[in-house]
Amino acid sequence: MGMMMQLNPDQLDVNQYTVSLMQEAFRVGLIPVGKVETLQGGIMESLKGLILMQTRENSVSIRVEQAERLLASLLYSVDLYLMDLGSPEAAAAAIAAMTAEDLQKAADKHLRQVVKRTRVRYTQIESQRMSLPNVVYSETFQLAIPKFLKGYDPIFAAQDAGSDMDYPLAFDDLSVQGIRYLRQYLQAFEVESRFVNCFDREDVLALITWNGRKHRINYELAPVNFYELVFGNALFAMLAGKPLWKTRLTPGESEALIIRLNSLDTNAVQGLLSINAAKLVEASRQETPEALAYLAQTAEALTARILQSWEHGNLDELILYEPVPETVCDEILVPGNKLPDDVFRFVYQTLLSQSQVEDKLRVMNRYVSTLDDFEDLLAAGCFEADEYPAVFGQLGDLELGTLLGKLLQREQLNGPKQLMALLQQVSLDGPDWIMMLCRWMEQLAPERTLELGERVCRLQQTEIV
Amino acid sequence: MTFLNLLTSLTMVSTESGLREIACTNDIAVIYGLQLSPEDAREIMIARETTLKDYGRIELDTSITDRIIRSICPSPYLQQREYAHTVMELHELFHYLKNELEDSVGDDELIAELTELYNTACRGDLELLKGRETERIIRRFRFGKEEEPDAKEEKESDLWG
Repeated sequence: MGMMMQLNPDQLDVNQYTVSLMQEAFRVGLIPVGKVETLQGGIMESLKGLILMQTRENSVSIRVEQAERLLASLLYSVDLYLMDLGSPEAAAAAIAAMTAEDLQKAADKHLRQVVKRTRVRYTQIESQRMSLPNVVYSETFQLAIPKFLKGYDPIFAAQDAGSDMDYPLAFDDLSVQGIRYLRQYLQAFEVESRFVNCFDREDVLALITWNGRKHRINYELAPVNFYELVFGNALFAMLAGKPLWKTRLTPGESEALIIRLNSLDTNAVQGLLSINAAKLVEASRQETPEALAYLAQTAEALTARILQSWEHGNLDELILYEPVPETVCDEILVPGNKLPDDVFRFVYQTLLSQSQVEDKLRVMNRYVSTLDDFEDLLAAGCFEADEYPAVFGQLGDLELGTLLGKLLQREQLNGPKQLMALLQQVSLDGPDWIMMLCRWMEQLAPERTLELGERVCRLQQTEIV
Repeated sequence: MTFLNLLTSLTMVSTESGLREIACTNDIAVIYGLQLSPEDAREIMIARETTLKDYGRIELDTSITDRIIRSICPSPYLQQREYAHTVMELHELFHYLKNELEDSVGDDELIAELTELYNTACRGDLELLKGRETERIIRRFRFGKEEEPDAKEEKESDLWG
């Protein structure tokens, strides 16, 4: 007795499962050539029926593309049925045992059940989903998925998948088609949602906001996966000595964590990450092996990401912590109401009449209290070239930051270090004071320009978030 | 065996049976003094496949050819020497119109329309059918426009000389 050849799963294409399985089953001798031909003929008969149904029996001729779409729809339901049998062997056995007609009937019935179950699952998930202020998140669940379920056509276009589900999952296979895609999407989201629900909503909300500030994205509009954010920071919080299900960290705690991790070697860091990630996975109330596998996959991916970040010395980029509150400064100029025109003209004339920069500064300090007036006086040419360093030098960080932010207009800083590079690109065709400010900035110490860069970053974030 | 081969087999399967079905139409055609030889039938089948390929269409069987033959053979304008050629031309015109009208017209309705025009406005002139009348069919089905009065008169004068 010869050895039975095994089906090779690598030969199976999930998007043409039936056809590839028939080929593979024929290759290993599980089904005879006659069966392949009978099934092929049967599928064609089903396609004919489908074409006649679509043309309401008015036509036996259609465009090739339309026939392809119908054939894809027809095979999609068979693919789904065979795949859901659990194994290629079980699917091959079904092909060998069933007539094409019976296979199609079973496939159609199964597809209807899958659609029905997916609807139920969606309703359950929607009722348990944490409410968070993000448009992509809300629209995916409140608009895109109901629209897909309402418009899904299991007969003529079973392979079509909705294209509006924009909320990103931690792991998403976009090559999957039709109702399978939504089923898989909901399965994955359910795991993510159950995990996120273990945390306090206010904490999750804080994390989303901090993430927005940190990466300068609008947290209400950006497509961000909340589950990964929560998982990542819960892991950092555990490493920082916080109990399970906590995510909040202060800047000091974050810094202390980084110092502690930096004092360890790679194996120790990897070990700490793995142990704590495993604790988190174990403590999460996931019941199915698939859900646990999803969490384990997340843990593995995050551990690798954190480790890589640690090796490159930029762990601070990954840890989310409470932003430092804006400190009250002693700046004298603030954005606000401008001087009345007649007062402004008086100040302008007074400044022009002064020959010493110290006197001009005294006038400025006495009368000018808004940044807009200050900027207008700079633009009016009240100062000589050699006086500008003294003028800029008396400004505080907030004033300078605001002035620089206005100068950069829509150019967003990706980090404090980018300030000088962007200033070099500022057009010098405008008023003299702009050129003078850029020159003055170039002469500052690197630490000072970095501080100012951070200030501009914070100001820009405040405007965005 | 691939996804596309499966689809191609849809047209391939019917080729042999198509030849037999065309031969069967001679039972009726002979009443009108017409007949298709096995060679004619083969040419019609080859032309059919070319047309389907050129117009990017498939047929589930050869019933369109069969219906065209049965519909056109009672025509007083159809002569034996142009019988096979006329069948091939009408088949191509049928698919041209199917594409132009985006499959909005059923097979039987379109074949009846073509036969009617062939027998009346065109009086057996295929060029007229492929040109002027085809445009009229498209306009009528696509835009629901009735023929202009002068066109109608022209058609009538064509009929009565």
